[in-house]
Amino acid sequence: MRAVKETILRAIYMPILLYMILQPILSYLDHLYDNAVKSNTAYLTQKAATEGRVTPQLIQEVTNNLKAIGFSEDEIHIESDPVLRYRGERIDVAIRVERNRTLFPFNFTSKSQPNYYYAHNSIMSELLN
Amino acid sequence: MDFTIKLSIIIIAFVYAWLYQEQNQEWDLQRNLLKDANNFAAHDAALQIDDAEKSRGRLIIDSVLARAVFEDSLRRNLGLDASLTPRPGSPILSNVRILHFEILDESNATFPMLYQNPTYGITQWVYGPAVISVIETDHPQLVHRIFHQKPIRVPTIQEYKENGI
Repeated sequence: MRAVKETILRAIYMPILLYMILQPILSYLDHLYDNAVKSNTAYLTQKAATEGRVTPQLIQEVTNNLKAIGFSEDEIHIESDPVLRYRGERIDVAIRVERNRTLFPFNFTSKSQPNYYYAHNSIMSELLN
Repeated sequence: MDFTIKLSIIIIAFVYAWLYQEQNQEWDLQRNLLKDANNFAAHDAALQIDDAEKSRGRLIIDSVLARAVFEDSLRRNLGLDASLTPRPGSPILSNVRILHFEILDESNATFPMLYQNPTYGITQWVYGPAVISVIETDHPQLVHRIFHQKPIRVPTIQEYKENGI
């Protein structure tokens, strides 16, 4: 009887054990993806400052960076005005990547999880007229 | 009963470790955001060259304009209001403080020079007019009752360099 009781207890607590194993991994992965999107946005912004705008080559380079860590091309949205900006004018760069990864092994609440990773940066152009 | 007690201890330890991990991840993110924003703001400030002095062949950064642009750039990049406090939706969790803002140009320095700032632990060779800034924000605290963490502080130097250096 005692053995049966312990087995049932262990079975009840198995989801908790699973949660404890999976949660730190999922949380860390999500953090890394978020960080990667933000770092790539900063990189793109720095490069755009010398070019005067976000060029198609830069977009391709950053898209490739993000694809290399597991995002697909149609999940990546890079937003920036293609108009050439000259020295002292502002360039705004934003990257939005769909976040269809789960943050929690079990969602105990009815709250929805964030839908995308997002980063926005603004810098002045260095391009001389 | 024995099993339940052991499991409870494990769960408490897990929750604590989880919160600590979340706090460290948040620190990482906040620090990167702060560093990038400081880089961009110092970069924008360094672009504020005094045109009248430039026509005389000297690279002088307009200090008033540079400071204004520096703060404006920080606000734009971190989603802050006029007092550098995060607006709703900002990725930053607490207000940002500008600890140090310094301009080195041909009016107050000769280049190259070894810039040393013992207060903020900065030592670097500077090869041209530069903007040096140090900003900080509070460390995210999810388990602050046990650990008190120092603020996140990031320095940056944006300088003009001749091609080929």
